[in-house]
Amino acid sequence: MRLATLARTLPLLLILAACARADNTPLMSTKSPVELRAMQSRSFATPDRAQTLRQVIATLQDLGYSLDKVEAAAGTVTATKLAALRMTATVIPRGTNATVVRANALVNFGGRQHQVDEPLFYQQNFFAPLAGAMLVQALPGPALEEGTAPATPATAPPPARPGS
Amino acid sequence: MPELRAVLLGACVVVLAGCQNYNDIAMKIGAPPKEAVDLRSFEVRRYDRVSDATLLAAATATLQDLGYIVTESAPTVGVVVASKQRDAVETGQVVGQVVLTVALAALGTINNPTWDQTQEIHVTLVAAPVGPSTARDVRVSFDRYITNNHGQLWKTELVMDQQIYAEFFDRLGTALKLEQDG
Repeated sequence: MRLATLARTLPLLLILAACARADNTPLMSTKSPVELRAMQSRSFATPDRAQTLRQVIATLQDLGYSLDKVEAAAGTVTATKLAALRMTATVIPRGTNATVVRANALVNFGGRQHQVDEPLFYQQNFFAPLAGAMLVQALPGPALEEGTAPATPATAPPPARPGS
Repeated sequence: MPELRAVLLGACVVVLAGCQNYNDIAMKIGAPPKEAVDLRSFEVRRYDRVSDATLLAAATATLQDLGYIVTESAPTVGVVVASKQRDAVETGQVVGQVVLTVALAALGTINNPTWDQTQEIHVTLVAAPVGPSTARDVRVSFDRYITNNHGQLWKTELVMDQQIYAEFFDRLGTALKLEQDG
């Protein structure tokens, strides 16, 4: 009798198991929205949103990310590094003289995606290089012959200013 | 004794690796590449007296000539992204794996031979104006994702072969001349 019951329920269980999908929903941070916003945002003293977006793209490329999606009108860039770390950066005008950059990263760990919530990650691995790139961009570049490689800045970038 | 030390060291490494969380992994992966300066030196070329439109048209044509499929394009910020899939099987690697499997089988150990099967090459190209001049910097970066014969993504790397970058820029130079000549 038990064997017959098992024989009836086993196919049903197998069908249900086949329908079940792995949970690919990212695990979001348990930190407060205020904490997250503080670590993920920096304000830059420029009203030039387009130029800031270009610098965000250049910084991501410098850091070894490959670009996935760029929406210039919305000011968003999504990029992936080594198929394991995904970052979305948004450039938002703030008032008449400032632009805010907000970055959000997800990392693959243990078979799932996790929202990165370490302030040092955002500061060291994104905002500090971005601040350096924005400073270098403000300086005029040397004239070069066509098709030659420009010189690489040798100075370390200064840290970004804490944002609002 | 040296064996015991090696075992203890290995155990410590495993325990320490087990203590890592997702933020530690993100810190490691997200760090700037150690070879960033070298990369930049061969990833960037400067072109003078060229418009964004001409440059991006030539870059897109070059990528298409090389067999890439354009997956993203944002001309207002000078971005073109493309990718292509290629066979990654290397005879030496396959033979090595088969020999290893046979040798281990003789010792009574089962080995599942694994080798590179396919690779997906991604290219990110960004053209940026240089100050107020008519010059443009083109930066191109290649990275590749390798899938093994079991269908698993098992290697990802930035392409560091300077020759690949040099060949790309040679082709881009030719394409630019064609675009400018109409």
